[in-house]
Amino acid sequence: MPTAPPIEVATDLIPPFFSADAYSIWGPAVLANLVAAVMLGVLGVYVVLRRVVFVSAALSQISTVGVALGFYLGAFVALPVDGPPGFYHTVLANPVVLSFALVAVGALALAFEPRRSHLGRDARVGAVFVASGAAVVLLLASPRVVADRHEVEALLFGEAMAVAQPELIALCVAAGTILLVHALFYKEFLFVSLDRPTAQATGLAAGRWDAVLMLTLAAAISVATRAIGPVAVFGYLVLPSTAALLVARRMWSAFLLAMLFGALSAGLGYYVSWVYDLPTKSTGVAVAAVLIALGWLVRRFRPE
Amino acid sequence: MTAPSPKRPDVPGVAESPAARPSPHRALVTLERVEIGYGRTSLFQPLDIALQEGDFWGVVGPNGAGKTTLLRTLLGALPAVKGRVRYAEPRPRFGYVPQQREVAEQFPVTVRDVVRMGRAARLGPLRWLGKQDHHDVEEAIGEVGLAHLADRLFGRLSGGEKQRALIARAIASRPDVLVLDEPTAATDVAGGERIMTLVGHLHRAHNLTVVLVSHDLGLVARRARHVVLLDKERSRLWTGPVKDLLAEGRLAEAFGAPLDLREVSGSVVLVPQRSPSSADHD
Repeated sequence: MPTAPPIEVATDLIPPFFSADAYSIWGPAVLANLVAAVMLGVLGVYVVLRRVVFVSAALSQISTVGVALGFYLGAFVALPVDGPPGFYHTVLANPVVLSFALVAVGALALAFEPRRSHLGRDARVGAVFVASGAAVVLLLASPRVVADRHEVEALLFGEAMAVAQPELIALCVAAGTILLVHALFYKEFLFVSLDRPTAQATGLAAGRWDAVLMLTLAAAISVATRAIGPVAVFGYLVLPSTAALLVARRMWSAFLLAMLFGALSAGLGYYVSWVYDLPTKSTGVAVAAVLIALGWLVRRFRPE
Repeated sequence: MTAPSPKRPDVPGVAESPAARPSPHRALVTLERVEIGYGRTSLFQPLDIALQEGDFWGVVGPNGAGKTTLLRTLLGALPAVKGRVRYAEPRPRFGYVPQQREVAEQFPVTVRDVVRMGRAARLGPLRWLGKQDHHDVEEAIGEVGLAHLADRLFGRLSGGEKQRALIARAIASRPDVLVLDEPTAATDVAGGERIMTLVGHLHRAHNLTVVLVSHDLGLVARRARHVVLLDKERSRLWTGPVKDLLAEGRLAEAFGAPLDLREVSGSVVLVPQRSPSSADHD
């Protein structure tokens, strides 16, 4: 039986990673991934320690609903041909604004365990996760978003390589603001996360600080989802911080290592995916998974 | 262990003015016809008590009786369904020792980090610990006997050591009232006794008002001067001197079991009722 001839890949069409041509392609995308990974690494430390990992998965999924809803609503009103977009497009149908609003509500609803609830948090998180996934599919099934469907699907489910300048700027501003808020209010966030009853008993407005913490998470997820997609957002939230917490012996080192591991996953993942022509986000996740394995080894074999 | 003066200045380098110093035996917290509960649902009949400076109160009752609800109301963390909670002026400072399971052990924080939170909580946002704060933190760690474990991760401590660290955090805030929620629940008998000896020492050394919540009746009876006994089943509670209350057969009513407290060799112990009238409780 004759064998099929090997498929020849025109690798000479792909410029080397460290070249001006390649940089114009990967520069903004890598920068967006790096910034998002550093920001989400810090927040991920709280996500992992507060044991709300699957809440963050549901929130990433909710944020995709916001993005899809933005595209859906945006299709109802045509953009002005000349002049800037109006209030409708900049606010009401803005994917990031809608995403933030939905994720903020979701974060406040899912992150806390009500004193009296018929359902456990895992059931509520699972229901929201599945319902959000269905909502995205239904929104994208609308004929109104046909024109944008490829872009939206690439962002939400696929391998969106390019990051637009406004999204990158929004991500950098959000990351700077969120990291500053976390640096300034570290002791409050730590106290309500470690021991909420005592924080409340000693006069700290625990509910308010918890809400602020969750709103920073909502802002980070919504802005990052728009720029790099929900798969990468969930990955950067959970994996680098998990690896960091396996190694760190103090909170400050957990934060620093989570940022470092996040940046490594994003940068190295992108480089490896470029050189070996692999799916970008999966490669980044694989790098982070390797870091977790290394972290486990360090924890297992280092002296106490 | 150090035994600092009962009331120390809060601000570095500033002596506490006599006017600000509480007078002896003044009421720090007064509950006037207070009904505790959640939302509009009262758990008990109205409660009237006054926590005097230097008092030692015990709050006892079966599991789920509403002890923690009463504490939260006392601390102002939960509004009273009815009635009024009044605080002395200046408002007394509370040091709170939670149930150990409330504290997340997975955080990479040391004993020192945990105790620092006691100071951080009173600073407010955008203010950081100063020299006096660090000094008080070290003093509190030393006072509970954990100086040698100050850099150990909190999650790696034994139950008794964790309890000591949480007590250190509470006293690092220089409280007027020390509130302990089931402090011996995660310790063995000997460890529990050591914790209570420490609490007794702090009570005397700092003239602290102590509110101790426990389901361990013997422990409360041995330490407290006054007690609140909760009976959620019948929405009733009793307050008064510990010996009056716990020796009148009310325990059997509150706990639904034939129990009584007796003084044996100078120590108060929990014993099963033996009178024929108690047979129907079995």
